[in-house]
Amino acid sequence: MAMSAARARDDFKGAPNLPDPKILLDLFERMVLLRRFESIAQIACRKGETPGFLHLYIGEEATGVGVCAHLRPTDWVTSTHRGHGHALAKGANPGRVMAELFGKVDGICGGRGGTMHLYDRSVGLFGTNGIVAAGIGHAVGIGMGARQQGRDDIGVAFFGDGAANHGGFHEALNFAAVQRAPAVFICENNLYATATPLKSITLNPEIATKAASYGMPGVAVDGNDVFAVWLAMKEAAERARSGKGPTLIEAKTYRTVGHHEGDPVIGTYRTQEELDAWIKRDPIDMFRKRLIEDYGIADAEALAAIEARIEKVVEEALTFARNSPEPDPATVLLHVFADPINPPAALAWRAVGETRTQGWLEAVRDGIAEEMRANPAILYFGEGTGERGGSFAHTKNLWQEFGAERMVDTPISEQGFTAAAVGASATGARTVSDLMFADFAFETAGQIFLQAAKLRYMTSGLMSAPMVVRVGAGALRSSGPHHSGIYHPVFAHMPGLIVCVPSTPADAKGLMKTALRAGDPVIMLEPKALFASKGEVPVGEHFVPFGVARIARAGTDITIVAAGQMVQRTLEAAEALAAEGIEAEVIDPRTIMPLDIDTIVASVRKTHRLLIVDEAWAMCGLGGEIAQAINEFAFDELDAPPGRLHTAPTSHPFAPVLERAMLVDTARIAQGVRDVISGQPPVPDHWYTVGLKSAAPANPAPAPARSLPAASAAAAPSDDEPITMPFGDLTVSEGTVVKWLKTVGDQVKEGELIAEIETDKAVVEIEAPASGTLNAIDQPVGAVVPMGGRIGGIKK
Amino acid sequence: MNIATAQVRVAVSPYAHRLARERSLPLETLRGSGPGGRILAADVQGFVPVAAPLASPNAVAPAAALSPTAHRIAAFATAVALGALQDLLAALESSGHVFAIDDVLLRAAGRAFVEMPQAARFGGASVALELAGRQTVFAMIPEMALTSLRALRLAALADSRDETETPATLSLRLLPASDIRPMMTPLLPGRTMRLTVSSDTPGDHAECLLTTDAASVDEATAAAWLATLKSAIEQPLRLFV
Repeated sequence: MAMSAARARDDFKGAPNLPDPKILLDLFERMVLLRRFESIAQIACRKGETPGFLHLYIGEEATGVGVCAHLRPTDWVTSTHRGHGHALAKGANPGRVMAELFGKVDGICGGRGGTMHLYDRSVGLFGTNGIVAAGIGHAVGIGMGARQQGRDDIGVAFFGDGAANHGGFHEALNFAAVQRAPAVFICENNLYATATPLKSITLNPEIATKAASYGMPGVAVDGNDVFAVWLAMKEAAERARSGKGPTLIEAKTYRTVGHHEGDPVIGTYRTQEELDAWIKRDPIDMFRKRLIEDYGIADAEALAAIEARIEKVVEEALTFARNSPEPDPATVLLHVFADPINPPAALAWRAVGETRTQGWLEAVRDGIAEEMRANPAILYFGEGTGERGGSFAHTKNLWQEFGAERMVDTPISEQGFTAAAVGASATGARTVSDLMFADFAFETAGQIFLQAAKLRYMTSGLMSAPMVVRVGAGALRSSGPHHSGIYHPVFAHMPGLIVCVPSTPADAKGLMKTALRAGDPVIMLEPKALFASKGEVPVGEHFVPFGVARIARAGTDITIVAAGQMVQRTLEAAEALAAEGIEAEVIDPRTIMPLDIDTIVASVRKTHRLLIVDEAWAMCGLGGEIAQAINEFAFDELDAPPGRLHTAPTSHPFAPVLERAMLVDTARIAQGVRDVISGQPPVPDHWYTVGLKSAAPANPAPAPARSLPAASAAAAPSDDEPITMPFGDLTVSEGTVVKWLKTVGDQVKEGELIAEIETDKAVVEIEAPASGTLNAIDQPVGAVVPMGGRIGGIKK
Repeated sequence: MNIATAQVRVAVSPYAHRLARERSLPLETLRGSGPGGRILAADVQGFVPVAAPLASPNAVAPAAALSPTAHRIAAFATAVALGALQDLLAALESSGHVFAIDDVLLRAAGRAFVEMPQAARFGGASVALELAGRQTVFAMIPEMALTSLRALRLAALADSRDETETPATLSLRLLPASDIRPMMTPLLPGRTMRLTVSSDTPGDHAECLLTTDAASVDEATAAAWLATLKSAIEQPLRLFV
């Protein structure tokens, strides 16, 4: 033993000094934890105990463990669909992670997140993630947010080789590099994006070399060598922490399981030889050997004792998960928004005081500046919104006051900097992601819809992303098809997003200030057509709460709901109608989500007629939504069918004459009111422009689904261990028994192959679930068996 | 068979429908000014009864044509929700105890007399159930159990006994289910109160019209009696214990 220790020191003469043996033993223990946890989870998944299917980290443990050994609980990691290992390496409680995989109430996300959405604020786990490359930019924002808050915590992103060809990777790395973001990027290159070989989808499979494109160091390491990973990460973490900027580490590794549980280990894309070669390089076995033989800091017995201890930990985790209750279905509606949805400042009573006349852009700039003065953790990301003051001069003078660190000029990388805004806003900073035009929001739709809006719900309210997405929205004089949309119904469709469409400078400022104190992501759609407008704005602190409509004009004969630039058009129409003896009441909801339906209902109870005027399109839109709400809440109050006026169902044409033909104007609103009052409301064009009336063939009735034989596991006697068709792949419902390798009466050992079942995707090898005697073959060769169905039994 | 329900559908705005209901105006009497003759709120609000007998300054005969007691008749109407009762009857039926709404109405009328004894000052707390061309009287003193009431009612249906001359304060008339609201029904000879009940076709609600002889029953008492009946039917559990 002493001999081998001496030899180890000799071997390492050229390398940095070996760290404290405790560190090396911790690395070993952590890897064992990750491996044993996944093995237990694998069995639970096959038994159908986990509701979804799992992507296991088996074979890649050295990377997650080597990286996370350098991280504090206040550093954050972002992760991938294959992220249980990252969660555990970062310190998440194994029992609570397992309970989350089971969808139980004691899971780290209360059962709302599950395997691919594991978050834990207490240990700095920023989510495993169901979306490839989505977490990379989060790590950039996490680091920048920590820096802005005066901490030297860092953001670390794990992602796979598949993500390295995704825009999210390139945008995030470029943005991080130019910002010297305190971040480290860890590419776990396991050679396959699901089943697609890396070398078949890029001509440069050396991912570490891509760092050069962004002017940052790129390092490739053996991802199965935990100490090599540890050494590479040591330097990268120090570099990030000390303000020198990010590093890309490519860890070359391999998963020795299928893409997900239920997927074949080799499949059609790998060879047995390749798998065997990597199994020989198993990270735990290699490190065990080195600890004993090369470093001489432990013997086999000591390591076996560690493994025995971990075995107990994972067994306890499994028991904990099994015993944890299901979440209460009555809680399903909780954690979509903060409760209350408005920050205290927006609800505080303020005397209506002095006002002054201000332009829209100036008023909103003032609001942002006031909030940035009050909260030094606000960062503003935008394209040209720094020194140049924004394309609409909408950030003029903010860069001069708050500096380049806070008024961050970004590359045209909506996805990259919006992801950073999500990461920063969820970890203590606040961010504005200025996307210039509402149309551009779709360049980063995934970050807005799938990451920011869902964060609170996925974490059962433990985390949220209170960022503001700021865009100029709506039609303005031939802005054309890519710069004219407003899209608020699209955003309002998404649970968890607050959607603002102000119509006056005062409301725009007040809503912006509320948004910068809110608990949830807010999309602020400022109508470009109103940028040149002026209005009275209260002097001093001025907040407008979400979900409180403004009665822009009182009237008795009809209620008109209009938001944004439609409010002014509607008020003009109302004046014209007053001359005809029609007094219209105009309701400006100000926020589309939450929508103040109570104010609209109260108005309809008074006027008994309703017209919705909206700049967005009619299909699945605000008009239909509000009209149906009136059916639900105030049907008996209607003296005429509700009407709706929307922008015509076309893209925005460039030619002014065409654009005028598509938009709702004052004359159309006035006529719409007359039509509703006459009992014959306008019908939007979208019913007539689809061109399907004659051409659509009649739909044939769908063939009834073939019924499957029922799973018969319940019939088994108690001392009989059922052999079942494993669960795992939710896209496969059944399989055919192709071979029994044993006959009734044979002795079998646990884990021994006993049968093969062929599904649409692969041949699944069935292992003996226990040692004993095969005492029943319930499903002969050729039988079709449903997932989870019993095929035989073993007498223990 | 029922011509009223086979009529052509009348188009009416939801708000106008509500206003007409509140004013007890039959929609058939209204002329619609909306598209396709749809009745609008303004049509209800502007409705002037045509040829109303008392509105005509020259009418002398109509007053004489009224029954001698018409001028002292008071009428009270209410809508009673039957949901809770239907649920309870269904639950009882599933345990083998069958009751009809008729039984419950008799019982509820008895309960109302117990709680409002002054309503029964003339004639005692007996109720005459109006059958086809005859009446059968149930003595309600003190309160008869539902099972007994039902047995008596079924027996009365089976025989042809007429108790029109037997004293009773109230006569109870059940109209066949329809969506028609009773507006006015005359008192029957010898009865100071008459309750006419018509449930809607789904059986969710019943319209109850109480006509009383104002000289015999104080108007406030009659209204309170009807309120007691409504409450008893809407919270029916108390009638069964």
